[in-house]
This record gives sequence, structure tokens and C-alpha cells, in this order.
Amino acid sequence: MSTAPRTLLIAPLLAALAAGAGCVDEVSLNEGPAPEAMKVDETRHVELRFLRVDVKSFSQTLTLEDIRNFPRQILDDTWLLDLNAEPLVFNALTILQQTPTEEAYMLPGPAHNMWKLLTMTPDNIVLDGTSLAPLLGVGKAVAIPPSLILADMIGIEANAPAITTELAARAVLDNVIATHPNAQLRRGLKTADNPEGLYPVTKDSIPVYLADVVDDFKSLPITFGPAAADPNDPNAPRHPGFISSTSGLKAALDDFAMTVTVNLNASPYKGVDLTDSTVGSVNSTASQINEAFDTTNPNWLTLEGLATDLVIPELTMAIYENPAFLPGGTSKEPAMQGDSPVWQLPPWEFERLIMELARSKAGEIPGHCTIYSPQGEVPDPLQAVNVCIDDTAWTEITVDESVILETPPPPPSYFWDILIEVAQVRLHDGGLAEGNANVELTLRDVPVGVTTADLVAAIKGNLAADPAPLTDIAEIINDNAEGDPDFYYYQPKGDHPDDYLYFVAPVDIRTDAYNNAVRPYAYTAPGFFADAALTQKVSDLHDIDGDVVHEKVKIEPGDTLYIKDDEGRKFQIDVGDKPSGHWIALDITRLE
Amino acid sequence: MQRILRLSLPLAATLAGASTLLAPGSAQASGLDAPLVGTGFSGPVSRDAAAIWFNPAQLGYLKKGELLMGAGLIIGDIRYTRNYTGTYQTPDSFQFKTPLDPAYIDATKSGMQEQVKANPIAPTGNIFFAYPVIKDRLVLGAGFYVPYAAALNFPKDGPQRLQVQQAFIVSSNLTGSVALRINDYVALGAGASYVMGFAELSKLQDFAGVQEFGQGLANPPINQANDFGPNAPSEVRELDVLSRPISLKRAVSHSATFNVGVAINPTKKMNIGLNYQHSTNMHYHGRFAIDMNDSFFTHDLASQGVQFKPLVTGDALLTFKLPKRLTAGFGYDINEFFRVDGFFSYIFYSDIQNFAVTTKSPDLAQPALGIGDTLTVNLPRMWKNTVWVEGNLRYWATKRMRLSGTLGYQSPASPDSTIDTASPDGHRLIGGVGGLLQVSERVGLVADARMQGILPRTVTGSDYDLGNGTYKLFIAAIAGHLKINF
Repeated sequence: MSTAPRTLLIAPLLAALAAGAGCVDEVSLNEGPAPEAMKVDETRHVELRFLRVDVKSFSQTLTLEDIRNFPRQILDDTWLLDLNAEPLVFNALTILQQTPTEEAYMLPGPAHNMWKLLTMTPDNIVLDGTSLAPLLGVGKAVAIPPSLILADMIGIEANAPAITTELAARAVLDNVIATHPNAQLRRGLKTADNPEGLYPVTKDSIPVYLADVVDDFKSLPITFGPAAADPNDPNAPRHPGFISSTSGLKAALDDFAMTVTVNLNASPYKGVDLTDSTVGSVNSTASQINEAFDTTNPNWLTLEGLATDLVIPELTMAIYENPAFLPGGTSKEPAMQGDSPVWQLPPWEFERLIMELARSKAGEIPGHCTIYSPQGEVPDPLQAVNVCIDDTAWTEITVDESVILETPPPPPSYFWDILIEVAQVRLHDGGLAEGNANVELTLRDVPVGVTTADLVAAIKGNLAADPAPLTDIAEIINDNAEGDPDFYYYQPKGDHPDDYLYFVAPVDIRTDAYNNAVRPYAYTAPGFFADAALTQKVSDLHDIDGDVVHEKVKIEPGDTLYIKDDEGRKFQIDVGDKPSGHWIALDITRLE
Repeated sequence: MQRILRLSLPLAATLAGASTLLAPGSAQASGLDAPLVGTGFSGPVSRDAAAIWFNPAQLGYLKKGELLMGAGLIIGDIRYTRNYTGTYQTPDSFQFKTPLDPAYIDATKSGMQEQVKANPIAPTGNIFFAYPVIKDRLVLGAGFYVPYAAALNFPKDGPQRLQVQQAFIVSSNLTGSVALRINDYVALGAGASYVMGFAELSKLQDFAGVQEFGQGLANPPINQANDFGPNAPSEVRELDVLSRPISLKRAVSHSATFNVGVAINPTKKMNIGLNYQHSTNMHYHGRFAIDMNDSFFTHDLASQGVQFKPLVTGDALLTFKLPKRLTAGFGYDINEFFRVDGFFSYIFYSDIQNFAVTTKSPDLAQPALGIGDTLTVNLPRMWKNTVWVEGNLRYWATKRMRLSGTLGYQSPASPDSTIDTASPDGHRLIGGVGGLLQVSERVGLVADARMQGILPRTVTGSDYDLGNGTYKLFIAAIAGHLKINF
């Protein structure tokens, strides 16, 4: 075939194709240049959509790896529960108290001495070097065992511990743990009502954060290490902390998974950045957080892969002593305390701790007097020793003048004034100098004292009562913020929803990958106003669908509002006719 | 998330949309048959070069070589009045599970809507050549022609926008034929065709009807029970956010087919022709583009793993089968002035139960939802076999002028359940007139005008209310041919 006929054949085809190629428009985007900042007196038209995407029982499972990849600030600030520390402290002291003697002698000096304090009984008490030492002389003189005198005085059996573990635990909780700033206030969501995001911790508890769970509680020595007792008072004594090291409390196993189930509008709210009148998205999660969780669903929050037995493989608790020897008091004043300088110490120091402990113990001792005479039946027995302790724990030990003692008995004092002396002396047995007897107890396999089920129940209970701590996590799961709108469009639930404009709140400020706000909340006049001078606010914080943190105003076509952005520029907003039921049209004019 | 959906939203098996979007407008049952191939005098019992298409056996009776070429214009008037019979939600909302909250029901979306129409104008042309290489025994032929074509141009914002906005589909055959004249009574013929197809179309793709979209929303991580998918009720269809503009451009198909025929002349006055046209598997390779530029798809569900580029483009493959057909023709010379002829075709459109559309683009992939970059979607059509009958009356007005009149009928392929404006189909009546002027012994000029229209078809049984309404169609074709014998 020659070229000419071939051309003839192809020509109709080409004609047909050419005609066809031109008759169907190709889909393309009409993207204009990036918008510039609005100029003064410039008006731009903006349309906003409210798209409700109501998801129900939307579950999101986060693995250990997922959670570890969260911004550090979220891990550190997401509070899960206040863990009751009483069982932990009790268990720790019990382990120490029950340490076999042969093992106890292998402990470092301070720990060994602490063991001796916890195992001290009237029978084994060593009074040498204390003001009670004269009782030894009494014993020699009249054949009365000093242990009997001590047992009677304390009101216990001769072989019973003078300081019970329960009392010691209570003292530690009240004086060492409860006084630590991080056991008094926990971190949480920053709100308008609580801009610092600090909330009180339950008594006898230590707060547990998401970071603790996923990091095997490695941060405990930091959280409960040395800290300023009062951050607002630079002169306040520094709390030395009470956990100096820990290792390996593996609460979350490798297959750990946290699944959160929510009901919410997953769609972000569309708003306007007044700088250039561009449409952006405000994360809708925070404003719904109080209603997002259906806590009637038992599976609204599940935690799987938690260790069955919560045991701390190694925990070192520390109690620090004052570097000076501080005598007991000798005065009844102030009442129920006395004049010992120990009372001037911070509550967490060892001496003060013992003082408090002894005062607690004294509360268990009823007032009584006991007279000790030499053994044998005589018509007028010698009252060799008279030990009286009244209801205020004021203690007087008198020895008959006929009994010759090398040193006189201790002067009258409170019970605790006597005991503090014994405790300080015994703490320094073995030649430990004052200031070198800080008690550091390294304990192994310490049960936390809370079952996994209880732990989960506590977490769920807390978060059900106040899901706000999950806000940051929920926003990460549903991270759909875009741009930096100054206000947004909202339609309340209902059959015939009205149109509202919401002024952004601090919770709406977009965050970066580290969960830091990308901009400060620098609005000096949040809300909507009826006048350009911004003197007649027409918006308020009234409750709509559970939201009480946003300035909001109902709008209708024809309305005019005034607003100031975070850079101090004023704008006029004219509400136009609605394009459709879930759209609004606004004309925005920059005034200055 | 989005993952999803993710919610997915997310949702998000949206990619499926990028495939299905293309399918509905891709072919049109009997509406795809070009209104005129060859001249009005051509047919399965006609002895002209156009027999290459109608019945190659008739080539065997050509005494001389013949070149038949022509061009024409097809003008259409297609009208559609949509009738909403279902319940719809307000299009600017997004409720994905029935029953709907009454607050979201769009009471205004009901009943007859404004009529839309398309008036396509498309050129056409063909050329046939036949030459007896062995006189009275063997004739060879070649032809290039357009047996299937459709063009539509509806308003982009009309109520049919989710069915089709614009479409241009053409299938051209380049055929080589051979005819063997056994004797005066019987001839056999066959042809092999290279079939080139070209398709372009645009519409709004409703992701609510996309299986993968519904699954993506239902599966982890979004886990939202929904009614989306091919069986989606009208309540969740036609939402603004899910109606994404899509286009298929420059889609070209290369394939092959054949036809065989026999010509029987029981008497000198009577002609019978039988032709079998084999089916053709069309594979249109082109480029698709879909506008996903709504924050719902590009940003809002990103956390759930759903995040598309604002404009997703990639390769598209549209496949369907042009049907096989059996045609029987009959002709009889009444006297020296009049002749009647006609044919009956049975067209196996039931071969087409769905369209398969495959799209491929790295921008389609949504790994968090387990969706790759390639997706194949079948769109149900469930077409029926059709019949086409035509009768012609030929009249020699003078020795040089011959006139022709045609009446015919085509039955519809699209059932009520799947009809839409992409295949405006119905009981089609055909009429045509033509004239042949024999300028000289070798040269003739043919002019034809053909018209066809469907009886107004009112549909109330469209699945999911996708295509209920009234369809009207009228097509006129005019063509002129030059016929040269040598």
C-alpha cells in the first residue's frame, strides 16, 4: 500500500479522535496563588462548612511503641491514677523488718541501724549512751530487768517491737512522702480554670503518669528525688526526696495495648485565620472530651499486656538525717510537743520522722504509773523505781534515793523526747558520725501492693470521672488541626441546629510534634462584639453540647460582628445568606 | 484518625472511587451503535464495498473494484428529567448509616427535576475498498469505519452529574476482508479487524456507592458500620463531600475481531445474507484524574490513614466487550423500479454484565487501610440481548437516481434497574432516506439522512434511585459518500 491510501485511511480516525479529545474536560485543580495578608479596609468572602461525622464506638488501639512515640510532654503529663503508696511503703519496711539477722549484718551501716530500730524491742534495746542508761544501774541495784520497765512504759510485751511497721509506714507516708511536692500536686491538663495544670494528689498516694507505665517507672527517682518543697518559695528547704533509685518495675509488657473507644464528631471544625482569611481546621476533640467516652460500655478503655504481679525488683528508699545530734526536749511547752529542736526540722528528716513516729506511738499508750520494787515479800517494800506516763505522754522516771546510781535518771520529758535520743544514738552505732547515717534502704522484690485489676479499675475510674487527661492523646489520635483559625463555625446537635461562631480557646491552639503550642494564646479580647470599639461583647461561655470553654455567639444572615485577632487587628464580620443548611457565608473586612 | 476513616473516614477506601468513577459512562448498549455505517443503501444483502462490515460474503458478487468513502455528521438531542423517588439526606451533611435522623432528610429532594439535555455533534467517516482479484471468484476488501460511537455533553451541575457529564466513546474498525464466490447462488466471506477504540468521559464519582469506600470505613482502624457500597440506599448517596469530579482522558484500546458471512441468492430476485460479527474485547488504556481537593479526603482523616493528594492522577484501564451479533438479511427485487430489503440482528449485549475498571496510581495507595496502588472494580450493567430490525424500500427514480427509505427498530439493552444518562436507552425507532446519483458509469454520489429516537422512557425501577426519570433521545445523521467503481 502506498503512502497516500494509508493517509486516507487514517484521516477519519484522527479527525474523530481530535474531535473527541476536545469534548471532555480534564479534571484539574484551580489553585491560585497563596493568599496574602489582608489589608486595611479589604473585604474577603469566606464560606465555612460544618460537617458532622459522628463516629460511634470508634476504637483506637495504641501499642507500647505507639505510645512511646508520643511527644514526651504528653507521656509525662498524662495522669493515670494516684497509686496508694501505703502498701508499697508497708511492704518495703516489712521486708526490712523481716530481714534475717545474719543478712541484716551484711547491710550498709545506716540500713543496718534502721533495721535495728525496726526490730528494737524492750528485750533487745541497747540503752548505752542514752539518758535511759541509768535504768541499767537500777536493774543491777534492785534486780529489776530494764526491759520490764521499758515494756511497761511503752505498754507492749518485752519482745514486741517498740516501733511497729504500721507506725513506721504511717510516719514515712505522712512525713516523707506526703511532704514531697510531686506527691502533693500532679500534672494534668491546663485549662482556663487551672492554667498551670496542677491538681491535688490523693492522700498517701503518688501520682502515676503514662510515662511511668511505658518507661517501667524509671523516672521515679527523678519524680520523687530532690525537689524544691515549695517552688514559689526559694527559701523553703529542699526536699531530699525518698526514692534514690529503682529498676525494672515492668508494668507494661511488650504486648501492652491501650484501646480507647469514643463517640464523637471526628470532623474538625472549620474556621478562619483572620490574617489572610484562609480556612483552617480546629481539632474538635478537646471540646467533646467530656462526652466522648461512653463509660457505660465496659470496654470504653481497655489496658492489655500489663504485668500480672506488680513487683519492684529493686527499690532504694532514702531517709536523710540531720547532720547534728539533736537532744530531746525537757519542757511540757508547747503542749504535746515540747521544746526539742527536732521539731524545727523539716518533717522528712530522720529525726523529725522518729519524733512524729514516737508521738504517734505515745498516742497508743494510756496514762499509767508503775512502781518497781526489789523482789521478795516484805511488809513495807522499797519503791525503787516509779515510772509514770500521763495521758499527754509526759514521762517521769523517779528512783528512790536509797538506790545509788552512777548517773541520775533522765529528767521528765515527753515520751518522744526519750525515744528520739535512743533512736539517734542507735542510728549511729558502729561509729557512724552525725550526718553520715542517711538511711538508704535497697529492697528487692517489693510488691507494689496493688493488683493489676485494681490498677486498671483505678485508671478507668479516674478517667471516667474526668476524661480530660486523655485530651492530648485523643487529639493525637485524631490529629486534624490545620492552620491557625481565630474562630470557627459550629452547629449544635439537634433537629434544627442554629449557626454559631466560636472564638478559639487555649485548648484549640495547634501543637507541634512535641506537643508544644505553635503559637501563644495572645488574644487580648477573646470573643465577639457588637461594636468596633469592642465594648459590647455579644458572645459568652454558655454551655452548648457540654462546651463551656469557648466564647460563642449565635449568628443569622445580616448579623455584623467585630473581633480582634491575636495580633491586635480588628475585623468586621458580616454574615451573608446561607449557601445551604450546613454552610455559612461571611464577608470579613479588616478594620485596622 | 486514618486509619480510618479512616472514620475513615475513613474512610478511605476511596481509591475504589477512582476506578468506578469511570465505569458508568463507558458504553451504551444499543446507543453505542453508530447510526450510519456505509450508506443508506448498504446492508447484509447489499453488494457494495460496505459489505466489509455488513456481510463480507456480498463482496463476492462485486464485478468491479469499488471505493466507497464518505463523511458525515451526527447530531443528537438527549434529554433527561430526573425523578427523585428515594429519600435523600441534605447533601452538605455526612450521615453514613440509616435510619437517618429526620433532621438530615432533605425534603426538597423529591420528584421531577429540571430537564437536562445534551446536543452532541460529532463527525464521522468511513472508507471502504474492494477489488476482485480473481474475476467472479475472489474479492479482497479493506475498510475503515466507525461502527460504535457515542458522544454526550450534559451540564456539569445537572441532576445527572453523578451519572455522566461528558463522554466521547468511539470504536473504529480497520478491516481486511476476503470473499469467495462459489457460484451464482452462494458466496462466502470473512473479515479480520483491528479495532481501535478511543474514550474520554467525565462525571462526579459518588464514593457512597464504592464498595471499598464502605469497607474502609467499616474495617479497622475506623470501624464504623455504614451503608456505603454498591447497595447503598439513596439516603446515603449524592453527598457533596463524596461527589468527586473525575475524568478519563486519552484512553485508547487496541484489539481485534472478525466477521464471517454468507450470501445466498435463491433466485435472481431474492437475496439472503447471514453475518456473524464476533465480539471485541475493548481495553481502553488512558489517564484518569480525580479531584480529591476536599479537606475530608486530604487532611481531616489523615490520622486514620486516609490522606489523598488534592489531585490524584494515574493510569486507568477500562474494559468491556463489544457484543457479538448475528444478522440475517433479506432482499427482493419487486420489479425493475422497486426493491425491498432488510435485516434482523440479534445482538448479545447480555455478554456485558458489568464493566471492569482498573486504576493505578501511587497516589491511590492508603497503606494504613491495606489499600494498594491498584484497584479493579466491576460495575454491574446487566444488559439484555437486543434485536435490531430494519426494512428498506429502494426505488429507481431514473436510470441515474436511486432513492431509498428506511424504517427500523432497536430494542433496549439497559434494564430499568441500571439505566442512566450514560446509556440513554429505550425502544428506538429508526427512519432514513437516501439517494444515489450515478454521476457517470464509474462515479456515484450518495446522500443519506437517518434519524432515530427512543420512545420517551419513564423509569421508576432504577436501583437505588440512581436513574429514575424520563429519557428522550433523538439522533440525526447526515452523510455523503463518493462511490467509485473501476
